[in-house]
Amino acid sequence: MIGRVLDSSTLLAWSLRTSPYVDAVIFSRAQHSGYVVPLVTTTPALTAALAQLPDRAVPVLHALLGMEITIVEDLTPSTAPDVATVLRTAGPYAAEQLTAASIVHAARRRGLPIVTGNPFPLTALDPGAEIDPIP
Amino acid sequence: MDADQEPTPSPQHQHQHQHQEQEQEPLVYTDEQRDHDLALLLDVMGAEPPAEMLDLAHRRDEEFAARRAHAA
Repeated sequence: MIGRVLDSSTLLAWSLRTSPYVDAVIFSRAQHSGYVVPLVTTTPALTAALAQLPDRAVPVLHALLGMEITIVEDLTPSTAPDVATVLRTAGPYAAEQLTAASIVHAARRRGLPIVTGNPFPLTALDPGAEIDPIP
Repeated sequence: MDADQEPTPSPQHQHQHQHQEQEQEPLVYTDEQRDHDLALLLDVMGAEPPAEMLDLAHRRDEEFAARRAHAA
């Protein structure tokens, strides 16, 4: 079993309780015993999800973040150059695609597939990105 | 993974090469940590996910693992 990177669409699906598949991905990683099979997201994706969530759903997202296997990768001055490399193909749309770039970067760095309900911004930045589509 | 056999690596190949560079040792997941996480999840979910969705997640794990084995 391998980990997954969760983009903002997946964080929304989890928080709004709309996808049994996202539940299954998260639950099966948590069930795995012995070593951590990580669930990774990024600060920009988390921010984008929080911006779209009603207040009642925020504690559900916090429950996910409180798990031992959940990792939130920060966008910091030291990671910015590598994320910018992913984002370079976006050209003048770089600002709009920053969240997607942070997810692609996390997936590359960790060597993990991305769970998403909207793969297009991700594959536009990296046609080779491994996608685990939400059915 | 053998990048030497491909003079001009595809984006997918470059991507996989980066995967290899970034491989990390897995962290230990104790029973206490696992119990903590499962309790958090079940509190939100109420019950385990449907079996068909767990099966789908498992099949996709196998697909991703097969791709890695094929690329190695």
